[in-house]
Amino acid sequence: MKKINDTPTSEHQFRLPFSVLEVIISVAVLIIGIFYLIETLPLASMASGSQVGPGGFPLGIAIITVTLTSMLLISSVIKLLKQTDSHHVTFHRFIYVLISTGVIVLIGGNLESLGAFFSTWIMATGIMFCCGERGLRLLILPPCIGATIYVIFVIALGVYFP
Amino acid sequence: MFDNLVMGFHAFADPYVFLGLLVGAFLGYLIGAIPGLGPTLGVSLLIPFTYSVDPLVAVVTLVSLYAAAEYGGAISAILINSPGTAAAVATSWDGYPLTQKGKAGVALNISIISSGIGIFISTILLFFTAVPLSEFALNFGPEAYFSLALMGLSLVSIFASGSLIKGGIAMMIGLGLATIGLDAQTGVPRFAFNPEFFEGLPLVPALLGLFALSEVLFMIEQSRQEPHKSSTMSGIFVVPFNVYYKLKYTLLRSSLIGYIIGIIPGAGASIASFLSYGVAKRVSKTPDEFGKGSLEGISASESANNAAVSGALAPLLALGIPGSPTTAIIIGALMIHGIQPGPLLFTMNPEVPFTIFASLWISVPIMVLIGLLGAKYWAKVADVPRSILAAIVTCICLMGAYSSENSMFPVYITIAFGLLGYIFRKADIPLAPIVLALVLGEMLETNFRRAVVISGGDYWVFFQKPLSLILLSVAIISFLIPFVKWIRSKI
Repeated sequence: MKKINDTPTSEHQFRLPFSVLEVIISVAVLIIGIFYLIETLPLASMASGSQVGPGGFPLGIAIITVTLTSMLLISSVIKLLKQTDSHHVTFHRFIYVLISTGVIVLIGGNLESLGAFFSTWIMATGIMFCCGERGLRLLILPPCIGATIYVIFVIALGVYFP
Repeated sequence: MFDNLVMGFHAFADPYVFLGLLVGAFLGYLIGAIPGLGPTLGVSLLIPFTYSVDPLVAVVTLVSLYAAAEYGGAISAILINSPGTAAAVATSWDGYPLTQKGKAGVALNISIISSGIGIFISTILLFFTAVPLSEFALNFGPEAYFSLALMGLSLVSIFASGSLIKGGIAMMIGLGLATIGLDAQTGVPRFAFNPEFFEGLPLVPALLGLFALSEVLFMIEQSRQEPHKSSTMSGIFVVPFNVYYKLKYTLLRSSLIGYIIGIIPGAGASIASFLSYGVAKRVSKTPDEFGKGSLEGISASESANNAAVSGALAPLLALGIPGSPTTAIIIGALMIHGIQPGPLLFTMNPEVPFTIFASLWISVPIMVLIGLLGAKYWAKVADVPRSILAAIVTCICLMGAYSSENSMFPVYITIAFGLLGYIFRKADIPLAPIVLALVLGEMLETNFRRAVVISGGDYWVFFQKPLSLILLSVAIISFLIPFVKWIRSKI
């Protein structure tokens, strides 16, 4: 009955130079930081007299965030160009991580409309499948998990689903 | 003070409070024994179940889970050389060699009872320090609170592993997230693009995503696991008293080290256990035995990491400052129940801190019994398939987020933070500064603005009062230490 397939193999892996991941993240955070800074400017002008307005504190955060992120971006780009960092980040079983993310977003995002029992049943099936679970256990356990979650949250804790 | 303590013990006359302690202890062992999970994930997963229960029951359950997870972490460290929590790594250095020599039972006995002694001694220290500290903190002005919160954040930056810049970015992200919602002083909406953000970013769904849902994606990456070889537990009930008598100084010293390290924000149980282990080895008459099955080593590590639990509760209860992600989550849980940790807690809701003190003492014999009697079963917990754990954690995360407000908004937050947590962990961006900054952000900003308004716009107010100056100096030094280290590494 116990079947765990799809062990991490090279074909399931996705390797990325660590500096590339740092560049991607620093660009994303930098964009958010600049957006945050732009949103802060009208708030900062609301300060009057000796008061620190609602924008004063966020302005400081925005400036530091943009500065630090720019530093990370520059150092990552230098590492990337000089190829001094041979460190890679490995996403094991990448396809399954993507599928499970899709399951979480799709089913989790429709939790209310699907209801507690069905959404947790489908989600548990998807996650267990992505973890490499096959066979009878994949059929039997997810409805049990769904039923347990339903009993605990809906019946015992009184969580309301419209 | 002692009257309130009696009230704390009296709370256990309510069977639900006692049941909460048992449930927390049981689940804590369960979570602690599974490598990869830990008290932070355990506490965040348990919060949704506490929404509708009495605040005292909720707090006792969460605190006992936190403590029990540290006990449980040692079991898999000793039996299969796979520490259930980061704080049990030092325990595995001597615990596993003893298992290989067929003395797993002795190692478990020393570990569990040392953990109990660590909690017991450190709770005495907590009782005698938290209460005076809270009374002292009643005199804090806004400038002192600002400096205190800044010091808390700066200490986290010292202990956060990895890059200095990444730690700083994580902290700024947390502070930025804390500014979302209506401004507490002017009522102006800030970064609230949806009316649901007016009350700020919901803390618990964000924490569920960061710590629990992101862990699911890591479980999917490492789905395959080999079943572990079972070990015999002979000797678990027959460790003679004189063994503990010989360990008396180690237990006392390690409990004290664990408590002090636990108080320091960002340090936590792992550093406490490593430091205590190092000190024990240095002062030991038999340092050569360390790493080969030393009882002193196990005792030092376990008593310290459990004492750190009480230590971490001191700034939380007395000052409202979380010292670790786990205590940050407990603050979130307290806030859900309308309880604000900090100096006023001891006057407004004295039943909460004193019941926590009582629960830590009462939990000692219970944790020891659960640990010793169930050792054989806790060892098997590490073999629970990752696929089942991942499915359960995902379902609890999303249902827990939904049940926090009975709406889909927190579910979206949990999913978004789950993905963010996964990517950040892959990029070695620490999550602890995000959480601590998220919790401390409002305290930092409110007190900064209040102090500046009271001083009539004089920013030197933070340097004029001695207490604020001391705290601010510690904060500045703490921020500078990693920076100086970084510069020295580049030269």
